[in-house]
Amino acid sequence: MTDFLFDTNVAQTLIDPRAAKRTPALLAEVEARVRQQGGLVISVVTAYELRRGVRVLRLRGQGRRKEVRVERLIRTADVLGLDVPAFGAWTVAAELFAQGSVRSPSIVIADADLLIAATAKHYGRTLVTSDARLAENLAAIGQGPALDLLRAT
Amino acid sequence: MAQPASPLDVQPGVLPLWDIDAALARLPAEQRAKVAWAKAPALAALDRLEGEPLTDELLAEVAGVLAKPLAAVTSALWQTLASRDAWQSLAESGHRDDAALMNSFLTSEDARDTLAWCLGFVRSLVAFTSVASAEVMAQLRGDELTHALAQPQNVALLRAEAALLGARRLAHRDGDPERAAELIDAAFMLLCEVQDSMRHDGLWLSPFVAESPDERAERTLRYARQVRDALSEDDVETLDAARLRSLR
Repeated sequence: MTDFLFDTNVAQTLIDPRAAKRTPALLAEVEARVRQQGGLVISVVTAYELRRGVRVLRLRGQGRRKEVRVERLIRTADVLGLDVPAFGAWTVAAELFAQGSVRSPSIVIADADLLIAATAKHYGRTLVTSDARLAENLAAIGQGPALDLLRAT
Repeated sequence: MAQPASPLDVQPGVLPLWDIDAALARLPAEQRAKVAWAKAPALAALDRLEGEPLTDELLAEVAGVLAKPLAAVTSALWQTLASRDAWQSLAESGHRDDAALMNSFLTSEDARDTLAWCLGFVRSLVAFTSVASAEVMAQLRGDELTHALAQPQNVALLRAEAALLGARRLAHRDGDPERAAELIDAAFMLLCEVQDSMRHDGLWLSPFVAESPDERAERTLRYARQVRDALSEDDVETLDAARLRSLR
């Protein structure tokens, strides 16, 4: 097994009904890494993003079935938090933010991406992402987690 | 407000899923006669889950009615069981019967997977909480067990068990598989509450205790495919819109 942490965009590829037609190679790569890992490992930020999206669907009257399917997937994953031990991933995120801010021009990474990258680094995991810009930014600050950039084509 | 304690705080509150007919049939005639009253109210309550709109209120009412009959039958069973191992064997036998009956009845892979999660979790919970000796359990009266089931930490669990027993009854009567799937979905969400409550207390129970990493990966990918099959392109846009952009 390999120590991966799957970014939200990668987790969303797994559940996107368009993925099999539009980006079959990417979907196959993600599935291969899930097999390699022996399951799905995500940040609590990703779980939060998926849950708030599916709750919107539920409150719009989409019924319970979609929520159950997404929740079942989340509960099958290992969900890594930011707080344990000693709020460690938050501290790493602060460092990544600062490293980007002092560059000229500054490198701004969205909060969710920053927290997920920090979680990967904090737990010593390779971040699996399909976001080329995020990978570029993390590489530029030199303090990010190990990266596994998956291409859509 | 204080968080509810886990179901472990009232250990006897965790019951296996009983097919009430099968449970009664296991009792000697004398004990069976004493609790024969339990069958009619239990089945009448479960029948409500077949035809009435499925709401949280309905599940609460049905669970409320089921508590006393289930407790009475469970208490009577304990009077006749010689050991904790006998209890475990009985619970396991019921679990396998339930799984076989419902799996052959449900029409979708998705519903069977959710059922497997639910039954696996209940099975783990029953095994994990089965620590009091048979002698101790045999002293529990039905009313004490009913009281334990009514405790706040057991509310979600009892409602989930009611939903699963309702689905089981539908399978037994060759009812509507889609309605059974709805009940199983409701049970799943309630059992998630139980799992979270236990996690709050520092405990974690898996529904799939004997799973290898390869099996877990394949289950993950199967679940993901089932999500893909359920979501529309509009749904994906909703999920995209819910992504976290900024904490400000």
